[in-house]
Amino acid sequence: MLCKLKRSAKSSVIMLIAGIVLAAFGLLKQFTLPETAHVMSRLMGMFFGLGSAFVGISAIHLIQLKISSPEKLKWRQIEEKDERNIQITRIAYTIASISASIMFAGLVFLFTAMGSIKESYICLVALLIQSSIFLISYGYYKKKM
Amino acid sequence: MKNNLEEIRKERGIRQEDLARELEVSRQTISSLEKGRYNPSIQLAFKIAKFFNMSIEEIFIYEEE
Repeated sequence: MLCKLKRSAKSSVIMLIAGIVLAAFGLLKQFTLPETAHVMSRLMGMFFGLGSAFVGISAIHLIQLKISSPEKLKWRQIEEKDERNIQITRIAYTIASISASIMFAGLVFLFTAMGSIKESYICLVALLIQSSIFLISYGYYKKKM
Repeated sequence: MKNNLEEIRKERGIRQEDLARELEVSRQTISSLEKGRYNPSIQLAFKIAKFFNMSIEEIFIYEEE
């Protein structure tokens, strides 16, 4: 189940490597870009930011795994597998998903009203993708359960 | 759904934390179960019943809404 995904040391190492690669790519590419390439420069900044975030999150997790006592680690594992926590996470995800749908629909109207047709279509596509994912998942689990 | 979990646990002199450890759930889950704020899955209900060597019906009281 999606909400049961736990972060292992292996996944954190993969995330750390991906973060370093992304951040390094963003930073190194930034230096080779001409001064006029503002859009690419911003994009490389985003790569660097995302990579740094990956590095930070995974490094904190790895340090926690290293310094935590076995007792603490056991409790953390229990907390991750706890059925009430999983249910709470699912409820929170559902609320977030409904809110996102409402927000996307609102943005479609807002961008149309502002005359930003391209942005309006981007939001509409995002809304359609989200709805499609819902329908596919619904159909899949309806057959499975 | 009501339950007698708190009374049974206290009768046996078990702390919430120890019960949680045995059942492999968080202490908050035990607390929520005892307060009737959370209904357990059938698996957890069986685990609890097995731990106390009782039937599910002796611990959990089904109430029609």
